[in-house]
Amino acid sequence: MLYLLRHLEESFGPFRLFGYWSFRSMGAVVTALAVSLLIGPLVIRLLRRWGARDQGRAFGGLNVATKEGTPTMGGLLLLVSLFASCLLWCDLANQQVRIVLAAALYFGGIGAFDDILKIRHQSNERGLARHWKYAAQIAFGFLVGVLFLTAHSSPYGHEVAHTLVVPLWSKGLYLGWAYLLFVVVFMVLASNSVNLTDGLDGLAIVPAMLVAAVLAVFAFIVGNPDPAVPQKLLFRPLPGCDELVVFCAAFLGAGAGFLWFNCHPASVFMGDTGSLALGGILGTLALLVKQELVFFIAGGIFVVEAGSSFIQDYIGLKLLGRRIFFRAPYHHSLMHQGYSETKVTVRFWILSAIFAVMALATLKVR
Amino acid sequence: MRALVALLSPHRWKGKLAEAERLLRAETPPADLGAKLDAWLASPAWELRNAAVKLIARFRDEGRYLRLLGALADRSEAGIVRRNAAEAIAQLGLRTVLARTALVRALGDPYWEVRSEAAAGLAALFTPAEDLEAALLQALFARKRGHSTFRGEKLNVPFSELRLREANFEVRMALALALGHLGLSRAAFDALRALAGDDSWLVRSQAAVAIAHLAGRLPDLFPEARICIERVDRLSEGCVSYFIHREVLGFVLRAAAEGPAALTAERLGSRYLCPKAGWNRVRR
Repeated sequence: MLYLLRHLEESFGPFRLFGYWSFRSMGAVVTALAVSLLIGPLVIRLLRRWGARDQGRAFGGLNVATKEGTPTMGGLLLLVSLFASCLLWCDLANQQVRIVLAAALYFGGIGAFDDILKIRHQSNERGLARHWKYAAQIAFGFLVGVLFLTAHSSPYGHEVAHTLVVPLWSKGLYLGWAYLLFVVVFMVLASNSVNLTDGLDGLAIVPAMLVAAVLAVFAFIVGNPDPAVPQKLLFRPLPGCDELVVFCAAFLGAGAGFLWFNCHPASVFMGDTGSLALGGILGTLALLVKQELVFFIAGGIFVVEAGSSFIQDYIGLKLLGRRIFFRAPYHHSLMHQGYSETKVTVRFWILSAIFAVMALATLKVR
Repeated sequence: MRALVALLSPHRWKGKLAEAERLLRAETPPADLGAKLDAWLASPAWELRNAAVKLIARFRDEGRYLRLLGALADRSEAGIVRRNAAEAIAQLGLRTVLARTALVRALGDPYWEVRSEAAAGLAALFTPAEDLEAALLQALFARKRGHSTFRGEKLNVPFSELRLREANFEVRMALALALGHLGLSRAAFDALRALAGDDSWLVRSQAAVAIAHLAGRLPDLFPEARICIERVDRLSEGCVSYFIHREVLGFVLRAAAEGPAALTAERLGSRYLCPKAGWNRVRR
């Protein structure tokens, strides 16, 4: 909404600042962080009063028992601060911003429903059935894919919308309508991989923030109003994407605010409300800036976590009838080997930073 | 191929698996349990064979004891089934020569969970014996040069000539526990002393308990054992609400201060860590 103040530039000169994404990005970070910090204690108190408490799961880890009863559904805090900041600082007429906000609402809604079921049944095993979760994710992927690929609704031209941008290769891969299938699979992978990573205090949020930061850099380049900027780096210009930088900034602020309460030992867990929303937001952001494969590089931790779960469940247990890792996702395996939670989390953060730098390197190496 | 067929047709086993899950929670066995177990043990789906193995232990079906031994010995069987077969053999509690042979053989199984369960099973079932101690040491160590094992040379190989063969920390923990229960010589003590210097605090913790346990049976080793426990590296990478490793060491040292008579299986048994229960829950 503050974006609209730029129209009053003639009556008060400094209002022109609201037209600059750089100024609004700073405002978005600060607002989201401030909202998180202000409402955080209240949200946690409310969650506790509602009985939204983690049920704990027998992973054989070190600290399962000590975490039981921690308030969950903290994703609400993340989403409220993100939306508050976006409503203030983003250009809500921008189609890309509306799509990514819709994704946040949609995936947050699925996650919240899942969390509510778990809380009501007092069991982590009795949330939303896996096939319903997949169905909802596929439905979203299908909708966004159709929106993307249909000429009158797509924010981009036909050629750009149907092409998969491949890192290190400037030409890209024209997929045609097969891109729709790719979008569906990508959205399911993105939202589930973040969901699987969310198992230790602060483990999912920091890598998610780093991926958002990487995607913000890409959004700045491909959405730059000066087409010479993306072209210089052999990218196709994607008009309107620059506004996603403001969204990513709000995301970073909301993430930092959430981490304030989620750092070890956590006062609140994000629950599926947060983890599915994070995955949905990051997946949609990657789709909008046409950097789906960069998402897998920047979010290498998510790939490792989802990959270890897949290998353990489908190749190990289902096919071979044995475990490949001590536990899965991989952070549980490290915990099982006696590493402390803080050590595992901080090491994963370091790896995430390395993955983020690798993803940024693909900007130049083309 | 059998696993692939089972994987591609999960709907065929879904109902039976649900039934098996129900039976595992049931208080009394159904009248047709035997027929079900035979059918499930012959199923191509390892989950059903696994459920059957668990049910044999759950309802103490001693008539199918040999099937458990067969499942444990069959290397083509799914690893989880072999692991649970080893556990079921221990749960049935039949101290037979066949069980002893099968569990000792399982110490060399390629799947770590089977090795770990076999060591724990031996500790649960049998009393200290020279051949068991030798088998445990053989599972733990190999010669630095030459022969990969020291079978035949028994325990006469100096420890300086040995290297740790077992790479899996969970199995090393189980072997430490087993040596604590079954060791009866200086060689077991030396092996545990080597484990007390392990890189993993979980193994060090387990070894400290096992050393105290062994010293309780072998009072001659008590002074040395006490020094050894006192010197165990207390650094623990896993500290959440409390330092598990330090707590275990503190308990063992307090017990050791009372002399070898205080180092009984009853007193120390609860301090062995159990991988399945999680590290902050002691072994029952």
